[in-house]
Amino acid sequence: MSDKKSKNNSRREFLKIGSLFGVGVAAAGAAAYSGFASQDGHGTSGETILSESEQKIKVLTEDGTLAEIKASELTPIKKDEYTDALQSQGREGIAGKHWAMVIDLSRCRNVRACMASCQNAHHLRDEQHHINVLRMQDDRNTEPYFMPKPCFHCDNPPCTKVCPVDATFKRQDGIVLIDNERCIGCRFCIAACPYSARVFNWFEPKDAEKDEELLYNVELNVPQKKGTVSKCLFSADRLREGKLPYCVSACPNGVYYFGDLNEDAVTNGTSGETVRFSELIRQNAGYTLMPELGTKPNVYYLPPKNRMFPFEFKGKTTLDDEHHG
Amino acid sequence: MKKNNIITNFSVLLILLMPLMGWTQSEWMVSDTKQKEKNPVAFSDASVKDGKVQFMANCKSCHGDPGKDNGLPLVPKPTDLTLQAFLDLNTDGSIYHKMTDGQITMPSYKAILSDQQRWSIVNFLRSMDKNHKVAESVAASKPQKEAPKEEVAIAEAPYYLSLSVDAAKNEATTVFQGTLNGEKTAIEGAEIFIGIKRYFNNLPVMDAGATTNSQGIIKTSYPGDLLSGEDGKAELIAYVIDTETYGEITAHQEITLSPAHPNHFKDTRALWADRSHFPWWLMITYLSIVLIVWSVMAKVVINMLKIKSLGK
Repeated sequence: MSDKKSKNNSRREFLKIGSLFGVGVAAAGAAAYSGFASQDGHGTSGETILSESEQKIKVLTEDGTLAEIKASELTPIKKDEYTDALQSQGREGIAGKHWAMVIDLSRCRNVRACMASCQNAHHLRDEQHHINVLRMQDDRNTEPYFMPKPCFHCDNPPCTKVCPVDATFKRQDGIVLIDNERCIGCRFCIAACPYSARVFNWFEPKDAEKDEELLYNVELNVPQKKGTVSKCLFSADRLREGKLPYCVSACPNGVYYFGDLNEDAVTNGTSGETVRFSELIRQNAGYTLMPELGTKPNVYYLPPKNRMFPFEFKGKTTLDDEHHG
Repeated sequence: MKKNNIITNFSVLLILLMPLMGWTQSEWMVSDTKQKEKNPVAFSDASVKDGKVQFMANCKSCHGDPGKDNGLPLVPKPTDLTLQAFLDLNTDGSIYHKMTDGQITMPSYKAILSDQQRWSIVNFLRSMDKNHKVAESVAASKPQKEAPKEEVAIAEAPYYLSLSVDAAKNEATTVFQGTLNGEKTAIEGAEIFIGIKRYFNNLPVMDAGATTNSQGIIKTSYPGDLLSGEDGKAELIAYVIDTETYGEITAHQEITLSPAHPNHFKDTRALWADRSHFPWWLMITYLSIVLIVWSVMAKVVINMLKIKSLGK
């Protein structure tokens, strides 16, 4: 009985890893292989049991198709090498892309679905935010508004330049990532970031025990590690699959647009509508936060004009008390 | 005692549920003042078009295609808003306020659509209303639009969609044809999506709600200055929107747009954190200083040894 259980376990691992790296690089070693071979052999009674080398093994390829490969052609690879492959693809980025986000402040009504889906995806504790919805008021006479604030993935990032170990870096597609296997927790980057986009894992991360077995994916930054820095990743893992980031697709009010500046197009996460980035920014007076710093952010805001709902937070329609009281 | 409890609980539950049951069964009433509200957006082709775009984006997912009564199977069932019965029963004001306020499963669109957009949707629905009196100019153009619809029903499968491009003028021509008595016939009045393929979704280039003319043709210009990767290559896509009648018909065409500037983010991504980004001139200076200092020290030691051996 316990024998069978271990077989199942090894198969699960086999599929998990196979799904990451396709036919050529797949398999969790000889254990998985023998598990498969014996299972197939005994499973279909009456059929001739094929010799080990002729038996075929089912593998999930990277793009999600189920394929078969001869057992003899299977080359097992050690766990370290998957991590290496994940690391190198994570460091390289997607060629020819330049990701950007547009946040329409006139539509944000503090639903916080973006924050929830982000924290869920990146296994963050409740007090840690890769994206945070802030309450803003520019002046005591102006109407307050809600402002989601992710990492701005600056084209001239101050954070990557202060890292003494090259743990945080900018990729060719414009995304700024952190490799928490290199990070030594010095927090220079937190000090350097003018937008306070980074968080520190002061405590054991959420789901630390559950995630122990997981391979570290630098594009998802899961599992999180105590004593390292974490921040918004523009959902680099989702972009690789051609999907919009977690926060963008979670928003029910059409606040977020996301797209590629090299294609001059951004797609709304709620309606799926694609528009020209340059027109959207020009016609709606889009702006970036603190442009005077020269950081060249890749997150643009559309001003909170023609608001579709009044500002309301805990029954109050103003921030005056908090600011002046 | 226990039995008594159950009965009270049940009756309380019944009382609580009663208004809900009432709602689902009775008509959704809007107050008189709201019903009498007049549509401030004039009934025009532009407004109807805008309303249609908004309807397709926001209402279609539940209420289904206009006139097809194929809404989601919810309870209560979302009405096909273009049914004559619905349009006769509801005033402009009441449609507008149902959209604005929402009720139970119908969400409020106050925060999602602007005033103008909601009134435009009312205009779009009214454009389907046979009893609706409209301004003469619009009314004159209306029968012309409806006549070819009978022709559409005649042309049968197989359908042909072709897409050709005039690269010099940045103009795309889409021709949609069906088969009639074994011959290719143009289909008029079919709505066709024409767009440029982008990473997440297609960027539409046709006018919203554009339909084929009597030759089955839609002509659109596309933006030649649109950036499109490092080589400027892009794919133009056309497909028939009404997949229920015609099935899934698509056409593709390669086009060349403006090339984007390549990114050089990796060149400057870190200061000197790793060897590949360390400036070569600093490396040479530093190494030569180290070499000079050590060679001077070595020279001193050797000379000391020499002096020692001379002194013997």
